[in-house]
Amino acid sequence: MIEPQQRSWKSGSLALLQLVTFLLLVLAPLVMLFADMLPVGSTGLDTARSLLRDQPLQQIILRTLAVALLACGLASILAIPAAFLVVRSSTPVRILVQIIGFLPLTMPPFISAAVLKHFALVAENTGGIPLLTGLNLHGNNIALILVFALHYLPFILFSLTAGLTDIDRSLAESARNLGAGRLFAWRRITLPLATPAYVVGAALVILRILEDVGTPLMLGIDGMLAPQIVMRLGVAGLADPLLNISALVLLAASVTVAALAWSALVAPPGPSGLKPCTGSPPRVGMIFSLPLVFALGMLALAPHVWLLLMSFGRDWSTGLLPGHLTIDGLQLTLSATLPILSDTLSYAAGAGLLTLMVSAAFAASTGRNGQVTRVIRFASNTLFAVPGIVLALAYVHAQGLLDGPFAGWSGLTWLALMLVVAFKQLPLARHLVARRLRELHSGDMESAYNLGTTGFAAELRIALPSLAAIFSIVFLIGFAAAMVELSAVLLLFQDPQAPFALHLFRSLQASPVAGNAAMQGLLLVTLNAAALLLAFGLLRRRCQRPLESPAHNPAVVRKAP
Amino acid sequence: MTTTEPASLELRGLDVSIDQHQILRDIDLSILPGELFVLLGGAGDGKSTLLRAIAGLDPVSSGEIWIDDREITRLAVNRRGVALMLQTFPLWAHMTVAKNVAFGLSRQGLGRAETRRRVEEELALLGLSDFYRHLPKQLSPAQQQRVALARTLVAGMQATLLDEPFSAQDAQLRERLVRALKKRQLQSATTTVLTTQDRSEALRVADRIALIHEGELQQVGTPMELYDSPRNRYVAEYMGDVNLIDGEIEYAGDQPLFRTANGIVIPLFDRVLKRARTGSAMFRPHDLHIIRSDEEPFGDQIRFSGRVEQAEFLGDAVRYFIDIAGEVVWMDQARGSDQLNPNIGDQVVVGLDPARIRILEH
Repeated sequence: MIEPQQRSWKSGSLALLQLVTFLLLVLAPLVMLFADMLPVGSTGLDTARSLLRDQPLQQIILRTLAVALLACGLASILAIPAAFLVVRSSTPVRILVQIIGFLPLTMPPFISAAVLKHFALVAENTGGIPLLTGLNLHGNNIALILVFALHYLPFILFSLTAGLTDIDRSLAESARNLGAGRLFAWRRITLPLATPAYVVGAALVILRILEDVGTPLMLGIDGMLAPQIVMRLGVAGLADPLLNISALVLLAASVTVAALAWSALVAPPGPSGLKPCTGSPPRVGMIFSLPLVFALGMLALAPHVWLLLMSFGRDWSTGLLPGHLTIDGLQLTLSATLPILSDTLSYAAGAGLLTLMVSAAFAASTGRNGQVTRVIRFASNTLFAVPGIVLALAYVHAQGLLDGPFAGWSGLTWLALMLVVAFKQLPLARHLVARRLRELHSGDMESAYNLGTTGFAAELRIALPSLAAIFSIVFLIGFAAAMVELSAVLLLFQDPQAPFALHLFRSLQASPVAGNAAMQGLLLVTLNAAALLLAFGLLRRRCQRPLESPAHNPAVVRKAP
Repeated sequence: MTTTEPASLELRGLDVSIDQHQILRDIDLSILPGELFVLLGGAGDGKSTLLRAIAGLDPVSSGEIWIDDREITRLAVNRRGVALMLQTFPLWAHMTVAKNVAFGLSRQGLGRAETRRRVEEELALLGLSDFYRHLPKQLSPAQQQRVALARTLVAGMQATLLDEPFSAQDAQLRERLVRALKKRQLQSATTTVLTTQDRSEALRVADRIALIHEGELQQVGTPMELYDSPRNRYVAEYMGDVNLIDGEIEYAGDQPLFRTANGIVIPLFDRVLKRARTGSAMFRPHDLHIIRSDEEPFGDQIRFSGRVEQAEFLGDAVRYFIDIAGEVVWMDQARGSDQLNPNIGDQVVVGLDPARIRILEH
């Protein structure tokens, strides 16, 4: 049996290890970056002030915030009714909406932007859609907002669905039978209780948009903070003051959004519900909901269908039907893609493993409430607020400081990319692992201890099989994120043959090879979808298990014959 | 305290099915204005479903619900004039206790001062004055339940439905709350329907009781009627501790006699008896008492000899299990200095007033 003293010594060392990891791999690079970059002293502050007064920079900041907020607003308009529909509909409709919500996650938004460009080009050339004739999507903010809204709406949809599901049906019922009308009860009860979930989803959307580089660049928009960082790094290097100030403003904006989301989360939460707000929606709602499901389905499916059509043509085709796709062409594309893809798969697997290792290490402090552990928990959650591109920039900066045997070693760039991916997934992944560990400690492991199980090997024998599913989920989350990560890749890699996403981005930007690129895009979407589907499937199985138990669901007991 | 006149509540042939399982069957009830009516029954017997159906939260398969002369069977939940306190006493976590309680008043167009006065009055009645500005998560479950109760009571609807309103309270507080509710009821004369599984709570608080079992009404009546004259074995057993002895009913001329399987013959005075052949003789443990050897018989008192099998100390009484010719009956004897206190194995004579015996026909 492990003595309490031994335990405390072990947990202390673990906490220390976590703290050192966080300090070394996250905090130190960021601090060093900003210590070097930030203007110091009165002259430096004057420089910063004059930079912020610079009109182009102000426009960049304004455009970034406007695009993020408008895209979030549009995503909300689509996702909020869909979320209410999910929790109040019959199972088939619920599954349908969830599938529709899942589809955009499978396609990186820069591919969607390329698809939209192609669609506009076809529409213009054929003159089939008068509304789109003469519409130039290059540099078009509305197109960018549309792509962002469509791609990131699942964050609001899934977060709000979870939030609404957690609201006990009886809360609204109580209001109704105290005389409140449906709308009044919704406004006074359901809406305030669902707000934290919505705010978290909306914050995720804004954070994702803030750090997205590939999508604006694909649509020819470089006047936003994240693309500016990448471009200025390529042109003027780390010493560029505009790069520094852009990175700082980006970080500040992200931290503000994350802080707002955090404040919404710490507001009085709704009681954990066992009877979600399910039930049939009002008839009028049903009339509106079906067209909504249809429209959402079309919107979500359109990029995938169009990408498939694009892949049939070797060139930017002006026709919808298959153009020059041949078996030889396909073989050529695949043989050119496979080496890049195999490198990317290895890197994504590495990123998945790293995500797993980091999240497991950070989650191991679950249940302990020491000061250091609390700091670590807070630190890992703050990673939500750090844009991946800023972290990647910090690694570029730290890499520049490295001399000796590692200088110029390309493996470092790959490692930096994997670290960015792993740390960006850390808040979610740590939460998943920590929750499972808590269940394990309160259940399986306690039973095992009571039966006299001792020793690390025996603990592993019990813990590992129980953790296998959640470890697989975390690995897949890291893997999928790495496959589609482009912002950090654009910043870290110059070589277009590097990660597959970068190669694809360059190919889609170069119009003559769009047919090949679309085929490669389909490949990436398929791989990403497979990983996400597997992760979602495993997660769904885990989440459903306790709910099916009558002991956890009084409604089930009540309705039993 | 109420803002509206109390109303009568009438259920006519009510059937409720949920997920194709029939929960309530043919419920006919007539509740008088200002009455405190108790629905008594075990868990899963349909009490909550009946309240939810009246409130409009569960759909009615057939039958009608009337409030005064207004049919509300298909009316929207918020237009029925019925306030229901749910069994799970859900509170709105984002509102303070005061705002939770004031919710029902907010639709009545009262001024701020009047709303505050009513909320404070209701909270004071339920011992929650100190929690005015607290959030629900800062309260214990028992306090949360009282907030939900206050919220429902203060709404002043035509009828108030309370689903197990004291289930989370400890015994002492429950006593106080039952008294407070009864007092409030006398003052405000609100039509109130309350559900409980606790028969003693029902007996103390109710003007009338309906005992419900497996979705069917077993008996409706005053507490005394249900206790003294249960319609069937289930009611008899639910309403209190009872001795039930099976036997046959015979007649010596017009005089009915009850003969147990062990040959004990008891003359009957139960006037409601029909010409049934078999039944169960029912009498409560406190209807029996141990007789001293020098005690003179009075009236038609029946005497039995038996042996004390077991004794249990109940605090204010002692419960004896007495074997009378192979039939074990139990009796409660209040503690007092002039009582006989037999030991286990002692032979005793017990007396029973035959007027206390009820026959439950099979």
